[in-house]
Amino acid sequence: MNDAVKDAVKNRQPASLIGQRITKLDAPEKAAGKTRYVHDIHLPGQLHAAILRSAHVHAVIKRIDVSRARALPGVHAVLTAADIPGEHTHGIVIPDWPSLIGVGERVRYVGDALAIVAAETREQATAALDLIEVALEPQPVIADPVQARQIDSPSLHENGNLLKHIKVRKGDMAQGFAEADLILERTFHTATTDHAFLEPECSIAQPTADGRLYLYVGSQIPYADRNQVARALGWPDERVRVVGQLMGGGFGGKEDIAGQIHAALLAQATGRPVKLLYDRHESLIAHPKRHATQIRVKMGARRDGRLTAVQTELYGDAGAYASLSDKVMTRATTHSAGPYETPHARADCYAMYTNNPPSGAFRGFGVTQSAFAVESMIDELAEQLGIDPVELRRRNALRVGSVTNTGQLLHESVGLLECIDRVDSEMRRRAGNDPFRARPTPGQEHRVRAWGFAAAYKNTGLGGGAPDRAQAEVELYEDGALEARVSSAELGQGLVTVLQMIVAEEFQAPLDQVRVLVMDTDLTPDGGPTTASRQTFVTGNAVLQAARTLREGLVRVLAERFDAPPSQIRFVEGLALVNGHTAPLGEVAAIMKSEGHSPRALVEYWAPATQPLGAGGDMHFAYSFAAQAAEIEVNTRTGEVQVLTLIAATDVGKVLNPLGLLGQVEGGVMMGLGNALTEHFILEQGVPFSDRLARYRIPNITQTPEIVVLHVEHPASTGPYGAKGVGEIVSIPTTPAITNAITHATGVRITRLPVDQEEIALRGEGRGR
Amino acid sequence: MSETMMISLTVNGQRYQRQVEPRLLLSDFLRHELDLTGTHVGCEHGVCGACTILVDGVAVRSCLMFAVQADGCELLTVEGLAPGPEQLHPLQAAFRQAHALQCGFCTPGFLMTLAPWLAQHPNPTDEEIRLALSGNLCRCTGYQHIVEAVKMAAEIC
Repeated sequence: MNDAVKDAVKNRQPASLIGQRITKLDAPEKAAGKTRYVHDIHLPGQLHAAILRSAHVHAVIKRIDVSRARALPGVHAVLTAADIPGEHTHGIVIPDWPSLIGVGERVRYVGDALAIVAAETREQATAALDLIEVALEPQPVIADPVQARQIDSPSLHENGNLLKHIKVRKGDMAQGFAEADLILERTFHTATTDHAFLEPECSIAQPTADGRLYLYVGSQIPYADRNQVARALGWPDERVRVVGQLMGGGFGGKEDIAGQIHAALLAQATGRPVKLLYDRHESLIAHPKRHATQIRVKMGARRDGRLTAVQTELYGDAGAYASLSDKVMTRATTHSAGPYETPHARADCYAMYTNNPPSGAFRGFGVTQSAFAVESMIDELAEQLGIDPVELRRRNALRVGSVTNTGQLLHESVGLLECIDRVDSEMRRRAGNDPFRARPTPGQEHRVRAWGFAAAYKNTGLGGGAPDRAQAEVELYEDGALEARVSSAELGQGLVTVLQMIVAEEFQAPLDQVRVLVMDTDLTPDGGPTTASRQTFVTGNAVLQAARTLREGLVRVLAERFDAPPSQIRFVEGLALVNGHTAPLGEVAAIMKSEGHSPRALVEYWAPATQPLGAGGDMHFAYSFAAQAAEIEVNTRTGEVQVLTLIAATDVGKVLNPLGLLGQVEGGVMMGLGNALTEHFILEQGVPFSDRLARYRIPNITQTPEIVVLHVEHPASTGPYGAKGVGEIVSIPTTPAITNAITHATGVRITRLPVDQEEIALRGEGRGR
Repeated sequence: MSETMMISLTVNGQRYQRQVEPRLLLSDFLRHELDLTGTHVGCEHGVCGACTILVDGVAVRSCLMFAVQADGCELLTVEGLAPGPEQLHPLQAAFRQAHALQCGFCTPGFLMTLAPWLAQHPNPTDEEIRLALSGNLCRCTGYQHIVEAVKMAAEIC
């Protein structure tokens, strides 16, 4: 025993890993270039696939002739809709997305697939696409959601263009506005944006000798992939095995099917492994985006700044297929009164089908859009009422005892006020007492600086009555290794490190004794989707429970073997301590096995129940809160905006790994910055202009401000060690903090994203200097 | 199809001779012919920097070069950066320690851009680091930890 162990044993005070800076489990391999992403896998005999996509935005297919493509040397299969053995459509919420568009059917966006090819080489597969003849009849294009709702618009789907009308109702709007001393009304627009994860999509489907199909893919929802692929093949789920690979980023963009079904169909047809790699062009054209929105906000407040009524009307561009639009736009709608208590609230959202690429999940999940609108309005309200914008937020902020616009009484873990106060004091420490006043940059009079402020909240978990559960398994091996198994996805966010920490914590074992296996539908139980900032909470809880269940099993066996009361048994440094005996964990595993017990535990964790929208009660089991302040500098000659400082405070319940959390906050902030200033997936009548990375500007390192990260901990009693979700909340207040700062610096109110920086230069003349 | 050309080059200290198509990209050559998959392709047109490698000691985007252009050259990819197996280059160690990577897809490009640059700029300022890395995109980290990692590596080097 080393001294540390002796001390630990003597003091019986196990050292906690929770809250310690732990480096990423997979970092050494990634830094060495050894990590195998999907495209790095090469299977013997593998064919290469290519997809013929519609060149038209909206059309009816009259004829598809693949005979010349089939005859091309090297081509093994050319498939059309008629060749799909199982279900023709897929979709996580509503299966309305055809895997291939058949003759007589409708093309609804430029990414729609008409035919798929498998050939010996990628070049041959691509060459075959040119030989496929398609006749189609162009149809009028619906390019935006407002147009889609007009009565004379053509219908894109059987039930029309309205995917969903989402409603929030609280109190009495007439009364709310009658009680207001000031009513403001304004309309905001947000742009379509792309995840631009650095790794484009890739799927490899491999038929096996025993008649199954293995699918190597980077997916945020391995079990949903398995189900959707199996349905397309007309198979039971179990015949498909998804072997998830580490992903080069996801951010919500790897939840939908993107190539998995096509690769599987071609592998099934050819009997050979098939690799389907998207290049960046295809990735940008095909996969779901962040919803473009139009959001009208009408807000009433009393002279003292207290909100009396918030009314919003949202249009969400769902694009051609449903994807997750129902859920995303629901979140946009329910969060559209901001993180504030208002006695009267009403929201109506129209999620509309259009001929644009489908919109789906993207970090922030709709709240990014409504937060921009509502936080801009709060700032304008403050200005018109002559109240400090931070103070106005403080007066209305949700706190314990508040009731949200959906009727949820918040009974714990509401750290919003502390977030606001901490950011405010850090901002004023740096900027003095008048941070929102425009200040010319000394020596550069054409540059103006000012601060902006914003707050936000975001649910953790699926909520809205959806069953939210995760299975997880923890096993102890005779070599002393502990293994956690769950299908949840590692996108780079650091989930596997958090799970490793949880198991190590529960057994007081060294971190390197714990390994984590994820994303394999044969080997790991279903952890549910990696979405909604839910994995730390839901899968974290599942792994925590599995670890505790296994530990209790160990304790029972040890108690019997050494005739000791269970309360006397301790775990320290990978050892079990019983009555003065010490046994390495591996030995305990051997003892368990010799006595006929299995040293593993499988649990199914159910998150606290939630209620559907409209039912009142707990729509979500937890919320994370945040406040941010941005200091920006505008070049008034060019309109160019540089963010100088960004102060971010986030209530995450409990910090598990501060290093991982910092990474989430800083990455989220930069995504919010891009959303404010540079990112715009440009579409012209449904045709993407942003069809390559050079035409879609994600922020680079020269745009990174000094990011000051403050952690706020208001524990959630049901979270693992008190933790809540963090992945999305960190990105949400950034955009309005920046746009509010621009307004303070220039006098130009920003109502459209991304900020048109030239327009600032034109409209801002004479202001702020 | 065009006829192939014979090239010979050194990659990570090992000599290779291969018949290649003249239009084969250097990135594809490394990944598919030599199975050096640590060099990643993110955009195929020189925007993201993930495919950065060293050609005769100079950082280049391997997606913007043909393999035949590397004929007779000495190449270094991320697989050859560490001094030995099971070891990490100071930059790699610092990227791990400072949490300068998340998904890791862009990381090899950052490391290969930095390796020759740091050797020439042993005491870089934040501003210099940012300028040096302005052609590499990362979508996960927000870049702040990358700057910290470079400073950490500069101290180790």
